[in-house]
Amino acid sequence: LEKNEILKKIKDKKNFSLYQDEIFKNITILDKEYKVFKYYIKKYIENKTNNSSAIFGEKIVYNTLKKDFAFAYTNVISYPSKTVNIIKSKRINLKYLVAILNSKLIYFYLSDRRIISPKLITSLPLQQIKDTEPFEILVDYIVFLKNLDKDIDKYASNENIIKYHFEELIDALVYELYFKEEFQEKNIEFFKYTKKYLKSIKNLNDNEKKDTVRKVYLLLNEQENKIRNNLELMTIRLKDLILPIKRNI
Amino acid sequence: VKSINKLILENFKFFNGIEKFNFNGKNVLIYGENGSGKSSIYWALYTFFQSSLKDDDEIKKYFDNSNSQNLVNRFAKKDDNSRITLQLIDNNKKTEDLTISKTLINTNIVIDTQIEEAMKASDFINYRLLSRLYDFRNPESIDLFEIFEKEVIDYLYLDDKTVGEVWKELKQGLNPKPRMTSSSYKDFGNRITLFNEYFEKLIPSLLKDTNQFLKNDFQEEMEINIAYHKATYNDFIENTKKRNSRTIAPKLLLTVELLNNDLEDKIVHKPHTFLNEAKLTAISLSLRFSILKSRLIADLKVLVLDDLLISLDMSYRIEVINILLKHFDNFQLIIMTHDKGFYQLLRRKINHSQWEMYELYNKDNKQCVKKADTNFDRAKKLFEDRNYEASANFLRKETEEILKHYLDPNLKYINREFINLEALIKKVKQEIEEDYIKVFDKLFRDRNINSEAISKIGNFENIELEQDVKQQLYQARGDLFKFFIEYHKYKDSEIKIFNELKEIKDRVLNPSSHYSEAPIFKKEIEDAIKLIDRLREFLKDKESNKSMPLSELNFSKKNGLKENTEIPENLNEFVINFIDDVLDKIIEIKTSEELDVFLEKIILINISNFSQEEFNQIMEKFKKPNVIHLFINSSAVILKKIFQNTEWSLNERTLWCNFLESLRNNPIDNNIFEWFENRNCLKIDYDHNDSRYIHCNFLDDEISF
Repeated sequence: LEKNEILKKIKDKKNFSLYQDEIFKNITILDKEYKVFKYYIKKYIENKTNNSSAIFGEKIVYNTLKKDFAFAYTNVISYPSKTVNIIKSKRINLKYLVAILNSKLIYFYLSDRRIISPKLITSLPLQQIKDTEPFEILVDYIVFLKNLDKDIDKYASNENIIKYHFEELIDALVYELYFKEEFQEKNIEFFKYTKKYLKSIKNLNDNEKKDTVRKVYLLLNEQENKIRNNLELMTIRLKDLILPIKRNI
Repeated sequence: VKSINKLILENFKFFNGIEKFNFNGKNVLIYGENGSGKSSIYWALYTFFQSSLKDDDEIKKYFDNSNSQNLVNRFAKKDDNSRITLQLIDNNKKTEDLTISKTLINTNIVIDTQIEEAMKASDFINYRLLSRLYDFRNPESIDLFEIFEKEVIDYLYLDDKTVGEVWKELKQGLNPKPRMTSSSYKDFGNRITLFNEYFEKLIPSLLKDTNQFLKNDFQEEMEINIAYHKATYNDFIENTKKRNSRTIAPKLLLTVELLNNDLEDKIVHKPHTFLNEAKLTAISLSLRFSILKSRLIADLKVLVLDDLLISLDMSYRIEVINILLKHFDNFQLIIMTHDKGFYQLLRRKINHSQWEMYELYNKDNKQCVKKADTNFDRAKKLFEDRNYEASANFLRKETEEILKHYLDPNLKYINREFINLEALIKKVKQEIEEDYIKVFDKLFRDRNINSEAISKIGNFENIELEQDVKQQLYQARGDLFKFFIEYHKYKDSEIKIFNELKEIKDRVLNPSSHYSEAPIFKKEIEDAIKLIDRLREFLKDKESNKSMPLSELNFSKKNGLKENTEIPENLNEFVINFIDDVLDKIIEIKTSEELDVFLEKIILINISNFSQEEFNQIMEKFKKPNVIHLFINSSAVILKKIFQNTEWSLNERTLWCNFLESLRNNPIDNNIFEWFENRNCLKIDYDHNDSRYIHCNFLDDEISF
C-alpha cells in the first residue's frame, strides 16, 4: 500500500478534535523582578480558585519537537515551557488520549513534521470511543512501572516490559481501532482479549499492583497467549498496512 | 489444525524423477545413510517454507537448471520438471496441494498467508548447532551471537525477512558511506535499531524459558544470563572523536550463575572455565528449545531435526527426545538421522501408529527410498508370501521387542541384549507378579491395621473389636476381594497367553530351529501372529495399569532416565554387548560408586571373555581423565579381584601395567597400586635409551593371596 493510502484510511476514521484552547503552550512575560515569569503561575496567583489552570490536575504533557516524540500523562503540577506543551480536556479520557497520541500510528501520521504545534494537535485524526478501559489500564501499568525504581521481573527491565509489551499492545489496539474492517477480515483482534488478560490496578496497593502487572506481563508472554500470537499474525496477514507504520521510527 | 500429508519431490537436489513421501499427517522418522538424500528432504522443506517470503522470480531460479543457484537434480534433463509439492491435510481430512516450481508457485500469495504462518510456527534444527559449541571454548567470554549468526538467525524472523537476511545486509554497512544527514543513512540507522529491538524483546523471555528447561528438564543447578550489547553502525572509535564507518556485530554475552554453590561469588563470568561438554550441551539445547517455544502458533507446525543429537551418547539422546516429546508434541515431528542404532532405538520407543518411518539408501547415486515396516508388518507380509521361516524370524523379533518394551518402557537399557526369549518371558511374568504382590502388600500396610486384627479378617463380624478397626477390616476385605477377582482374571489370561507362547516358542520363535528338518506349517505362523497381537494388548494393559486393581494405590513402575548408569541387579540374565554395555557405559560413569558397580558387575565377571583388542579399548577409556579420577580405594579392591580373575597374555600384561601406571599419576589416590607394587606386579624401569618402560611381574605366587 502507498503511504498516502494508509494516511487516508487513518484520516477517514477521525471523529474527534481537540480544541485550540485545550492546548497550553509556553507564554512567558517579562517581569522586572524575576526576568522571566511564567504566565500560568501569574494567572494562578491572580486567581487562586481557577482550577482550570493548566498546571494542576490530570493532564498530558508533550514534547513539541518530533525528534523527542513523547506524550506523558501526569497529575504532577507542571507548566508549559519552551519545548513542552500541555493538553487538558474534559471531553475525552486523557489516559486513552495519551495512549493514542503516543502510538506508532500517530507518529506515522505526523510523518516528517518537525514541530508538533497546537494547531497540528487539533488536526490529528482522533477518535472518540465508548470503551476506553483497556487503554486506561495499560496507561496505568506504564505509569506505575515508570515510577518504580526496582524491576518487577528477573529477566526483563521495567523499561523493556513497557516498550515491548504494554506499548506494543497499545499500538496494536490503536491499529485495530483505525483499521477495524481489515482486522475483521483477517480475523485478528486484540480488544476482545484485553478483556480476558488485563486487570485494572486502580484501588490496589503498591505490592498488589506490582503482582498484577507482573502477572499480566507473564501472561502476555505465554506461548499460547492469543495476544502474543495475534501480534505476530498481524504483521503477517496485514503486512502491507502495518509494516510501513511499524518501521517508521 | 493441519499437517503434511504428502511430500513430493521431483528432480530436486538428490532426488531424481518423482519421489512421493506419504507422511499421512503423522510424525516421521527417517534413517538415511550418508549421501542418500536425507538432507535434501531437510532443505526441500526449508526452501518450501522460505518461499512464502520470496517473490516468484527468486523462487523460480531454484528450479531452473540454467540458473547457477538451481537446486535441480543433476541427472535431470534440461526440460524436465523440478518441484517441491506439499499436500496438507486438515482435521476434516480435506487436502490441499501447494507447490513451488518453475511454472507453478502458490506458497507466497498475498491473500493466503498460511505458508508464511507455518514457516514462522515451524523450526529446523540440525547437527551443526551442537558441533559449534566448541568454537568458543577459548575466548575470555562466551558471545552467543557467534553461534546465533551461524546456526540460529536463519530460522528467526523479523517481519518479512529472516533475521539472518537482515543481518547480512546490515553487516555490510553502507558503501559508499553517505552523508550522515542523508535519508539512506537515517534509514540504515533505523534498520539497525529494529534489529537491536528484536533481540532486546526476545532475550528476557528466552532467558526465562531457558532457565526453566535447564532446571526442570536437564536438572542443571545453574541459571544463565545474557547481556545484550547492541549492534552499531558508524559508532565512535573508542577514546576518539572519529567514527568507524562500519557495522559492529551485537554481542550476546553469556554468564552463568551456580545455584548450588557455597562460594560467595556465584556468578561465573568466564563460563568456559567450568562448563564441560554436558553443561554446554544443556545450555545450547535449552536456549534452542526456548526459541522453539517462542514460535507463533499456527495451523501447521513442523519441527525438523536433522541429526541434532548425533554428538551425544545414546542415553542422553533419549533423554532429549523425551524432553522434545514432552514439550513439543503439538508439532509434526520429522526426525532424521544417519545413525542406524539411534534409528532403531527410536523405532522401538515410538508408537508406530503415530509415525511413518522411512529408510533412505544411495543406489548408484540415485535415491532408494524404503518405507520401513515394523517387524510385525514384515512378518505378516512374509507370511502372505508363504515364506514361513523368514516370517517366523520377524515374529520372534517382534515378540522380543514387545517384552523388552514392557520391561524397559523408557528404554533405559536400550541396547542390552537378553540372553533368550525364555529368559525374557520369565522376567516379564516375574515383574507382573511382583507388581501384584506390591499391590497386595499395600492393601494392608498403608492401612496400618495390626496383625492380630488382620488374622481375623475372615470372620470378624461377631468378634468384639473397636468400631474403626472393624470399619477398616470391612474395607480391606472388600479391596481384597476386588484384588483377587482382578488377580484371577489376570492369572487366567496370563496362563493362557504365556503357555501358548511357550508352545510356539520352541517351534516358531526359536532362532536356532532347524526348519529344514521339520518345516513350519502355515497354521503355526497364523496362530503365532494372533497370539502376538494378544500379547501386545495384554501387556499394554498391564503397562498402563488399566486393569490393575486399586490403581489409586499407585505402585510405580520404572520411570525416569536420570540414573542411566545404574546396572540392573540380575545382570547375569543379560548378555553383554561390548560397545553398548561396556564402552558406552564407561563414558556415562560419573561417580566412584558407579564405577565400582561397573567394575564388579561388568568387568570382573567378563574379564576372561574380552579379547585383547577389547581389553585394550576398555583400558583406553578408563584412562580418560574424567574416568580415571574416579578410581578410589574401594575400586582397588575390585581391581585386585579382576587381576586375579584371568590368565594374562604377555600383551595384556603390558596393557594392564600401562593402565596401572596411569593410575599412579592419578592425583586423587596413590594407594591403589601399592598392593600391586608391593607384590612386584608393577615396576617402572628404564631402558638404555633412558625412555621409560614398565616392567610387569606376574609371578604366580605373588598373584595368589
